[in-house]
Amino acid sequence: MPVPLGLARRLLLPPVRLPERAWKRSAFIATKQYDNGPQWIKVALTLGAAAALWRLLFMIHKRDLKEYERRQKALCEKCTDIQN
Amino acid sequence: MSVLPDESRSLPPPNIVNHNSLLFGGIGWAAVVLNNVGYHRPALGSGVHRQILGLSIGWFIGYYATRRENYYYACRDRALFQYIKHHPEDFQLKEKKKLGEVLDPFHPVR
Repeated sequence: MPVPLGLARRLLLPPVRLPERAWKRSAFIATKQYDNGPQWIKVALTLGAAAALWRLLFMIHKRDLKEYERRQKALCEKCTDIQN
Repeated sequence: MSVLPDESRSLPPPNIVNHNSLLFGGIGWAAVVLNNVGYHRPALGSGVHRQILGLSIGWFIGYYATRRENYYYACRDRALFQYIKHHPEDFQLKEKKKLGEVLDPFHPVR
């Protein structure tokens, strides 16, 4: 038979499973390694950014609440002035 | 282009917990979870710090969305009430009639 047996084996039989790490590091499907453990610097920066956002939100809320109350008070004072 | 005009500060700022914040926070969180799914990582258990950041960014955007929404509806209501004030002839109260006056007199034939 002229068909090479190796090719037939590769096409017809299920492929051999290489160890995961070797497979991932092949030149054709190179990906970042993700089983090195958590990257603590990135985690710290991410959580810091989230904390900063929440702080900013509360600050903006408080500032605008104060501004609203100030404007309401100014409006009320103007009303009483006109009445007087 | 400002996100919020100065006039909108005359309105009370919305609660920190509001419907738009929940919605956009959920979208941000779901985006991170979807990213995990795309990279064949455990969807909910991995990258909790990124999920928190996604939620926070969405919450922030949602807060501003609620403020813009309040401002838009406040402007619309102001225009509406000003129109009603300036055109009282279009908004007369109809005198109420009792149903007995409206219907024909009823003479039962038994």
